[in-house]
Amino acid sequence: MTERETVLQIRDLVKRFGETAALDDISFEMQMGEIVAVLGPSGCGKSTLLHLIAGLERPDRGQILWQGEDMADVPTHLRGFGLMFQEFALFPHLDVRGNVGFGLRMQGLRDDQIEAGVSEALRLVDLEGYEARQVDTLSGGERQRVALARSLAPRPRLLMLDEPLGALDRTLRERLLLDLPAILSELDQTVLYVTHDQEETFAIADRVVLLNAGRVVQIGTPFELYHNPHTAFAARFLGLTNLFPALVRDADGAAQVETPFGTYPTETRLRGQVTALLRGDRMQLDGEGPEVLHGRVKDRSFRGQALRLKVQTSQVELACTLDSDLDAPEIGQVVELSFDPLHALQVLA
Amino acid sequence: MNANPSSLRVNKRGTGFQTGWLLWLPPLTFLVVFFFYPLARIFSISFGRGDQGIFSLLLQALTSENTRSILGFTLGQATLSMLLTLALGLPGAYLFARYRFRGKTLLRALSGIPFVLPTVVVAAAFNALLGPNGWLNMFLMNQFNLAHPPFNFMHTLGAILLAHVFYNTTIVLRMVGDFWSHLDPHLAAAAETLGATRWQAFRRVSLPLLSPAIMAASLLVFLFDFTSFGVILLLGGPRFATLEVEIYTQTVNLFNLPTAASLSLLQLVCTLAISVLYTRLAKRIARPITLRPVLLTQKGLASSRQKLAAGVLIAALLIVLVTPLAALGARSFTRYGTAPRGEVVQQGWTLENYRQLSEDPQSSIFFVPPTQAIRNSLLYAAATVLLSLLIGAPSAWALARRTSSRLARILDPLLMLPLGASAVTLGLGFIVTLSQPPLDLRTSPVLLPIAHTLVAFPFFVRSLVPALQSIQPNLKQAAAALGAAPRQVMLYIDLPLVGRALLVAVVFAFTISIGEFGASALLARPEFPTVPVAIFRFLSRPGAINFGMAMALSTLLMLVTAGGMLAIERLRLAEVGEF
Repeated sequence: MTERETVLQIRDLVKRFGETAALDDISFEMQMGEIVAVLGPSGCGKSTLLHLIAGLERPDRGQILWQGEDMADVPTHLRGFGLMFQEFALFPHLDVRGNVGFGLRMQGLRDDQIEAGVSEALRLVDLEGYEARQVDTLSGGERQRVALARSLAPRPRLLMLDEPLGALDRTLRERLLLDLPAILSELDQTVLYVTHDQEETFAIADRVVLLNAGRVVQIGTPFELYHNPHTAFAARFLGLTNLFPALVRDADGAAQVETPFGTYPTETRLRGQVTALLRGDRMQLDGEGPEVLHGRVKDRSFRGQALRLKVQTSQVELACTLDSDLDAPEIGQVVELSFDPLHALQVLA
Repeated sequence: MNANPSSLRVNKRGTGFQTGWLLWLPPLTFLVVFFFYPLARIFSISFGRGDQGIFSLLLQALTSENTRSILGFTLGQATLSMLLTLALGLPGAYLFARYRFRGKTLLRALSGIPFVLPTVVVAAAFNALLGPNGWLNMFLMNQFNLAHPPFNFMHTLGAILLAHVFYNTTIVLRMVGDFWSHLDPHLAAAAETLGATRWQAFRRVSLPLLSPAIMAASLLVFLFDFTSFGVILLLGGPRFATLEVEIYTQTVNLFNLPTAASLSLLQLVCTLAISVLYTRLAKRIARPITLRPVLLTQKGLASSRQKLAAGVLIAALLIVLVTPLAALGARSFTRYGTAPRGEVVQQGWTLENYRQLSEDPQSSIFFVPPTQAIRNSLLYAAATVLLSLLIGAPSAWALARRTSSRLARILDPLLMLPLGASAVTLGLGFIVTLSQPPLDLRTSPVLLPIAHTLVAFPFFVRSLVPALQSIQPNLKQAAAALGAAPRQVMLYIDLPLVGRALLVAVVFAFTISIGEFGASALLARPEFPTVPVAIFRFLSRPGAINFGMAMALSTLLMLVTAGGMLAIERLRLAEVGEF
């Protein structure tokens, strides 16, 4: 991605609603053709961010630049940013053709050009021949695809998707999760994708902007985020467990982290009260690691490729993920969990 | 219990059928005797003039120069009034629908008051503000030392139009505003992100979606303006006549019943045509729309430009909708005297106007003390409430139960017909039918409550039906499964759930009765005037005392009707109603 041109720059964006800051000093950049996911719990300001970028609301402070041009005084309809709303916002008084062709009509195209654009957009989302359908006769999945086609048809320079799969049931979501990246990459579309679902994020995004309570928590590729979360919030939000309060202090010139289950060396630059993450996917059952914890198997569950164990040590309860082809220990059996503290034990703010 | 299924089925079908008809019986009988029969008499009197049937008759009426000009004026003023009402109401509806601001609830409540005010009160209010003895003229005369009121407002077309805007703006504010407030703002936003300017987004997305509501509100406003009576009679003066006023004049002043009947028929055909047009349009453009909670669609006024525009709009609404009311209230506490040159002048604050209400100023048999009129009005209103409960409640229940049945589909619009037939037409119908055997009620005190019940009927029923329909069928089924008989379901489920709606309906009936003017003007016996009739008499007579008492009585009536309206508003908070 690095050789691509930077197109969108968000600088120190602030938006307040009354006393509360919906967005507080948001900054990030996007490259041409990149798919960036804005990930965060509901109410963290994700939708507000999209509305600010679209020009539907004005920021209290900060800048939105597209290829270096400040968007502050550019009205929504001239920004060329498409936005697909969470509930789709299909026009109920128009049929599928009227909806998908709306943006093209606004560009002042001729009827035959609009018709061609509509067919092309519907082909992309696999809804050929749906032109004359009324939108209230569509299923949830079809509505989602029509909304996507409508956003894509005028070829926006930036496409923003607000929880595009949020309104769909689980089966449909999983199917569209497979289709969506294919459609977007076919167009080489620059996409800002808002979601609260880390699974969606990992499946679709090149890069992730993790938000919490209106602030950027961490920016990175899904891989970086998952393997190296910087804060307890990030770890918890990405579904990681085994988080414990801990203390980092310097002893004999080297940093040590004191956890409820022992004191270990660490390379972190943090000091004082921290959160320790003992990664369940970086522990073994062989008892041969530099460090070993003893415990009794409390629960186990078979998850296809992986086997998840809950192990009760004398101090804490740990969850770990093991290869399922190993001989699984029985519930109640005592096991030895071994790990490399510099590899499996992460110190988070 | 050893119930055999087939007997159960028979039993169920049997009771359902019986109660269904029993519910329909009182309202139908009532409507047939007191609405359709008088209407039929009007028809037959019209037919009696010519023997070529209804169309030639209408043609005959239309070819008459006089009728044509009256019809032309009626249509013209209604159109103008409707357009002006929309011009004020639509921006107001937008403000109410999309923005939160301080005092909004109060402004909304205030804007609803004019709609429920009796026409005589409206006439009195505009008189108090802009009439020859009104605040404005008084101010100008004092300021510039003038001998005569410089501003001529009464008996102009402007007075009629302004009063109609005053009256009906709230219809647009509410019908359009309520719908608008639930319209997803993301629809217009989506249009903008697709390259539409604000105006394009409004014209191509919001407006088409709002059009059913706008159309419905416009036609209702038009209908009210079309059948306008008191406003024209009292503010327009002798120069202007709508069909409704002409019917009244022909009946009361000229006692030309056949002409009055023909005009009634003409008016009925027009209102029916408007209603049919409305239903057709509504059906064609109605489409399912996902409604959003107001919490998501409204925001505060952000920029200073928005605040300025909102301020100007709020000021306009206040000036048109509230100042006449304030002027009336203030005027009722002002002392009047007659200056040497003969005009009425203001002489400070007093309660004199109210004190005089218990005296008979004219000492003639046709003039009773105003307190007597107040007593009459209260009695009539109580009787109207009682009659409405007896007649309206069963119809609402029947309508809500069987909306899908063919019977209900036929009867539903039929029950709404009294809304289309004007009050004066009702009064005329009573005069031509009920003053002779078999039903000689001309001198009976129940005549007015019956007329008032008919006028209130559509409002009464429409307040109840949505609440009744909103009761989830599974609640009733659950009650039935727990062993409740249909009557017990009604008593323990329906009644508590619709209690508020019932109260709303009762307040409607009471408020409408106490302010009703059109039918009362025709039917009230001279020695038993209602409050609106008394106000009309005082306003039509010269002199400071008459004017003062009209102001005082109007203020009282305004307080009662406005109180009723606010009560309805309060009770309705979480309710659904169609008016």
